[in-house]
Amino acid sequence: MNSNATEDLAKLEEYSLALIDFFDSLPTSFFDDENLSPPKRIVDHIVRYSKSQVSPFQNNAKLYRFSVN
Amino acid sequence: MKNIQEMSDNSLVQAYISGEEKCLQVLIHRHKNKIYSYILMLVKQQELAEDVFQDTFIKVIQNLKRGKYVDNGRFASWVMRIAHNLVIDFYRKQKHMKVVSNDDNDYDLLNSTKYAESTVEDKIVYSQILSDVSELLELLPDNQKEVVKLRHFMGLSFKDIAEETGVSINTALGRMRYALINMRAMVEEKNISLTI
Repeated sequence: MNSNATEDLAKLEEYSLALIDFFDSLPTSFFDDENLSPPKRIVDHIVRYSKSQVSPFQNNAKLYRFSVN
Repeated sequence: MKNIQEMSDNSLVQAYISGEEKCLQVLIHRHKNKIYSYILMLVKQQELAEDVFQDTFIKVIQNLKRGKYVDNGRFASWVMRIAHNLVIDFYRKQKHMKVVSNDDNDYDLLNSTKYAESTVEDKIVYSQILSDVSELLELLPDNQKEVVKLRHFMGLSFKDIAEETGVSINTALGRMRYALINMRAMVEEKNISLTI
């Protein structure tokens, strides 16, 4: 049973990678369909999450280096 | 800055890393349908697809803010690759998740009549046993009958029984002992069953 699951997982991995190449070849306009859109609340969650995260490139903390400063 | 909608993916990524939050929104809106469709085609369940979509972009944000994105002109395929890893991880975990069923075991600790509700038949048999015990009790000498009633029907301790009947604790214990011996003898003699 376990080996079947491993085989299935390998097939899914192969299919999934092939799908990336296929989707990549399609123009963005191909997906202009409301039914293919994730719910707005999910997008809003992501945007809110991003705003709560501070990039290390954005903070103004002074960089201290051992025996340099 | 030129019109944000016309910016390339790479310019948007660079601007986002520099602190332009709006650029992430443009990136998401530009590619969300493609990424979501990709995930949905793999997992075939809307709720799971939504979870994976959210986790994918959280990883995207973390990687971008840590400077882990290397531009090769294929932002969407980079995001799909992250989604791919999350989907495979999800199914790998599912594979290792063992489902335990009671049916797999011959003996089930909880599958006992002790934990089942009494049936009507059980109740009838139990009331018959109580009736038999009461009849046997009536056949005992008065002093033994009194101790059994005070101990088992009224819940008194032997100390209380001794005080109540005006005898020592040892006498009360002795009367109980003889009461039980006599009742056991009567059960055998009359061939009475006192179990359900």
